[in-house]
Amino acid sequence: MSAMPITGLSDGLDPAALEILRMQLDGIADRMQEALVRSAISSIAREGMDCAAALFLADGRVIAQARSLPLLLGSMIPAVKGILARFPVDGMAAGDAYLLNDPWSGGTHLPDLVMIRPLLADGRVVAFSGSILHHQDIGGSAPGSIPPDATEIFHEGLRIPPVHWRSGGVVNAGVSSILYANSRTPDNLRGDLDAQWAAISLGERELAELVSKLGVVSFESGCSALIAQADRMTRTALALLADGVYTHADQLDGRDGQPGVILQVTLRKSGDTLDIDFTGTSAQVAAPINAPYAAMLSAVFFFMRTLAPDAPSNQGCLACVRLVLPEGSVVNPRFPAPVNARTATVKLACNAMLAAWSKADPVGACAPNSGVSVVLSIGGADDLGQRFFFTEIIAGGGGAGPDGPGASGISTDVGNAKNLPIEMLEAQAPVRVEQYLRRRGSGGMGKHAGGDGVVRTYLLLSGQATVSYRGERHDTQAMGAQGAGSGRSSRAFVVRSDGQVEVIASKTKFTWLAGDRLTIETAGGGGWGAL
Amino acid sequence: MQTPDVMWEVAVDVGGTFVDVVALSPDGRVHASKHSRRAVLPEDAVLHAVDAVADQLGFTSGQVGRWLHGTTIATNILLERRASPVGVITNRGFSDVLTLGRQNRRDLYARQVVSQTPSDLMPEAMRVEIDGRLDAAGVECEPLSRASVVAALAVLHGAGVRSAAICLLFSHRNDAHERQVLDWCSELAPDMQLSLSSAVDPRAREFERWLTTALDAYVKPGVAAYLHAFSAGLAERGYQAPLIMRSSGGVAPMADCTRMPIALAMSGPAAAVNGVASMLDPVTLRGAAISIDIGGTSSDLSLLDGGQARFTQELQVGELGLRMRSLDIVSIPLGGGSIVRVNAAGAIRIGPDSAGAQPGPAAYGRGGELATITDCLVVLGLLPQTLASGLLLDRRLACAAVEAALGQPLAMTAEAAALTALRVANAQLGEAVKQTAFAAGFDTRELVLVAAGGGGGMHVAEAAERVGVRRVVVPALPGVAAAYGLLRSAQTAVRERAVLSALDDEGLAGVRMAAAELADAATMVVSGSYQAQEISFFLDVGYLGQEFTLEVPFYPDRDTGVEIGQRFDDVHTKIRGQAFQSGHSVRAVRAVASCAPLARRRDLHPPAMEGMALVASQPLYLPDHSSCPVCSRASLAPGAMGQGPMVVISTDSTVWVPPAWDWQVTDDRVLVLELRS
Repeated sequence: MSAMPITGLSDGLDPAALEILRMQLDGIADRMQEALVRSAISSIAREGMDCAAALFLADGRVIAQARSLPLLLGSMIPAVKGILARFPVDGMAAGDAYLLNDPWSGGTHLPDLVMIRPLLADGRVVAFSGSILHHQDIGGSAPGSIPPDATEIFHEGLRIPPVHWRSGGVVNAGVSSILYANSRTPDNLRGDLDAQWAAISLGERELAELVSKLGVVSFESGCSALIAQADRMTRTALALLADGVYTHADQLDGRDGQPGVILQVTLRKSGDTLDIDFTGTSAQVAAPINAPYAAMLSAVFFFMRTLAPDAPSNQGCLACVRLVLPEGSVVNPRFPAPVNARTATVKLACNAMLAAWSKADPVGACAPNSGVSVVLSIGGADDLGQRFFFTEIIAGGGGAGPDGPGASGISTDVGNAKNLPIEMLEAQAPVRVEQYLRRRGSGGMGKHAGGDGVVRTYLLLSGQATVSYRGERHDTQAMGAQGAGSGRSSRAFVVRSDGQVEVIASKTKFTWLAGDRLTIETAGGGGWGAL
Repeated sequence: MQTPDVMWEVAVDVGGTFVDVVALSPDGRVHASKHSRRAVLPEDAVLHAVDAVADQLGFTSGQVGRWLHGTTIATNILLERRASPVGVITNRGFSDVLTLGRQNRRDLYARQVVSQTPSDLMPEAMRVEIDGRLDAAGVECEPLSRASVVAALAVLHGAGVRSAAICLLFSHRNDAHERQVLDWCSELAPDMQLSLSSAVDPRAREFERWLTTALDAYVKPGVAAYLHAFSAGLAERGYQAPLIMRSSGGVAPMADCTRMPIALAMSGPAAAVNGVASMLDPVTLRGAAISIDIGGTSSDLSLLDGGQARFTQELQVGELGLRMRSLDIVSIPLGGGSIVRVNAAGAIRIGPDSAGAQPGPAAYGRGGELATITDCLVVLGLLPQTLASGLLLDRRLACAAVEAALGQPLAMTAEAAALTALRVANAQLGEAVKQTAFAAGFDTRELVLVAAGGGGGMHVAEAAERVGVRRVVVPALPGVAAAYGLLRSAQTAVRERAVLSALDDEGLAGVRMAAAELADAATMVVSGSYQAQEISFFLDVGYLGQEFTLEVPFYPDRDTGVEIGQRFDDVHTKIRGQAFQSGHSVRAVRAVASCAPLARRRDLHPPAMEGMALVASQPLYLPDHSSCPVCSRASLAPGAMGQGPMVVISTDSTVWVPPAWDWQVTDDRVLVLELRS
């Protein structure tokens, strides 16, 4: 134990007050999240938890995040910046709220609407409470606003640059009428926007109490000290490792026989700083897999959080990072690129960073995970005309690491989706699930084996359905670390009732008939350590 | 035959460090005592305590009308995970469900994602698949194959499995397949203990039901061995068999508890909640309160609304999630033994690890060198110099530990560092109070906090002040709340069944029929110490198309579908902010039979301070206070009052009245602390 006192801890708040402030901020963010989930209308937020909450200082630095979905958390930082660029804090008043979804103003994809509310104290803006929620429909060419065939943003729905959503608590009638007129499910949009308002209002109320107890100056210096604390903890973790340049290239599955786009990452670790550079990544494409800046920041924030998991979840985690996302590439596309399926790219970017990092930290880092979460959407009708619909997210294997083998069939990095229980699925669709097993041998071999993907087989009992399959890692594998083997690729196939086998490509839509068996096998994670 | 109210009643609750005994004598006096756990075998530790109390109070076997027991045996087996692995018999194609879980992970930023399911307790080699399948309506779509069960049993037999779970899809809709497998197993492997998922947790979603069932199988041999040894020990002494507390807040006969031992997972904490609720003053009973029971390694919080604890369907035991109807108790890893430290970035962190009973806090002088919450209290002079057990608290050792862990890195004196750590600990309790209140739809300012457990009295007033609570109550016997709660708990039996019914006439008719059948099945035979049986009914209701359900009361003879829907909408609004327009469906029907203990005189006296040296004042090491008065809880008569700072000591707990607080004792001998305005 060090006998030397640690200096420069904070300006104004003593160590106890600082730790208490951290707990209080985290508590507020978590209750905002709970309020969001409680009062949301759409099941995607209520049951799928596809929403998040966070707190910010007046200059846009994040000071606390709810324990929710990493895919959304980091992306709120550019959104707040985007709003501040359009609406300076000097013009803001209590009871205001601001809204946006535009990827070129700090948004991710169009269904994700960010809403923030300022907290005023001593006559000025001191902080913001913010929330983001995946709305059911925001217009565009397909119900749900995530058209797989989009070639430009205009196919994906209504773009909302930063707008003044409420003044004095009252919704801007002009803006709301445009929004509701452009959604296929205006009631859900209204209800879920109200849930976001309820959550950020709870956050604002609790923050106001906290600020009035501490005083504005102590609050602000305390938050800055917590950011400095996260910065120190992240830098301490970096400083322990050898300097170097570590690269990894990975590839998304191609479409229609075309080669897939390349994700190239270079990590330059020098002292207690880190460059994360995606130079060399493929140019943007006329398909919805482009990941806007805000979406990529979620991947980066997630990655940095894993370096110092004990650190407060705030802007300090990013302070030692220099991020390069080449403009016009799939990781920072120019207008008007389509972006609705950015998750696959964000996941693979996480994976590429983890793979490169496993070279930087041979002792501590784990192997990349499978890099896939299959999105399977099935809709149809049975023989009696009864309609059914369900969506599943099916995970692959986790990466192995120094502590042991990877977990099988597990949501990793920016995602955390649950599976659909067999007993819920069969109760809502004329489907019999015939197996849900670990896909044995699919994790990379090594001293510690990578986690296995899963095998799921479904028999359609009656009628017919359209299957939309969005897979990944059909063409590539998750790399092993420290001399271990790679995980196996994903695959999927249908055995028609006459016994004919049809292989399913990485991104496919097809008709499923009664008596056909659909089997999905997700990819395995990388192994760790030579055998 | 003697009538129950001239008999003794004896309750024994086993905790981590102590065995607590509360005996009610025929004249209505409550005798409480704490006994160190010295014996190696858990049943011996309990029987030693029983013998000591019998000797001291002088009751004999024929004079005890009721034995009650709260036990950590199931909890410990689940936390320690050292029992023999168990087998699982499941459908063809689904033996990995218990490995794969629900696919999500608990810790978002962990460097490596490890398995999120306790699959080592039911390893894959001991999970066997059989042929036979039901569909979503519970209708057979593939007949059971006896040959596959024979083959499965051969595998389990070869692996040396003694206890196994039978976990089949859709058994919550129809238990026929599971029952048939059970019959075949009983015939072919008569020595194997078996748990049925349709009996343990008859509700949809296979992973949650199967995990709860597999864990039932996992604790079964250990719980049965312990309970049989304990009751054999009682029988040797001529005593009758005990009733045992279950997580649901009611006691039940031994046979029920060995049949489904997973229901004992929160035995002690559930008894403590009942104990606290039965020791409150009328003012606290009328409103909403949060009870905070602080022990050596954790703090248990539960909300009491009108003196009534709430129920949850999901229970957390360490990392293990169980699905069963239980009292809603949230545990956070903060207790007297929690380790306090400063991390590399200068941030204070408390726990989650604990010094436990061995070596314990540095002040115990048993070789512990890490600073704990207890050490911080000792440094500041807030605890008496000698504990009830006779243990001397060494302030010099406590100062050295706090100095090394906190003082040096923060450049503070040991006293300033201890105060710093306590502020953080109390704020952490405050945050847990906020979260508990928020989850139940209450504002903290409406609440009273109840301090329980050995450590509650040291922290709760300062935690209260942080969250706007101005009233804190300490029951007469806070340190033995669980043992006392055993005496006051009803004997209960729960029977439940999954259904899928609309709230229309046809659906409701089916629900009523199920309720009547469940009521018959729940009917109990009780001893003369209990009142006549009352049956209450509950429904799990949800909106169409949504997984989320809430439990609402059900009155089969008068409820209409509209009334049930309205009741659900009201609860939904309170818990989730709003009601929806969509229709409702009933997912489960539940009958709870309950027999309250007979009313009789119970005088609560804080235990006298036998053997404890009493001093009039003790030195404090606080910035503004260098000493404070000390008084014995037993000496405080109803109506007594005064101001902090003061330390109130008792054999089961210590209470710190901070300087800004007033105190007084009510007629029920509740110590009430109020923040001066």
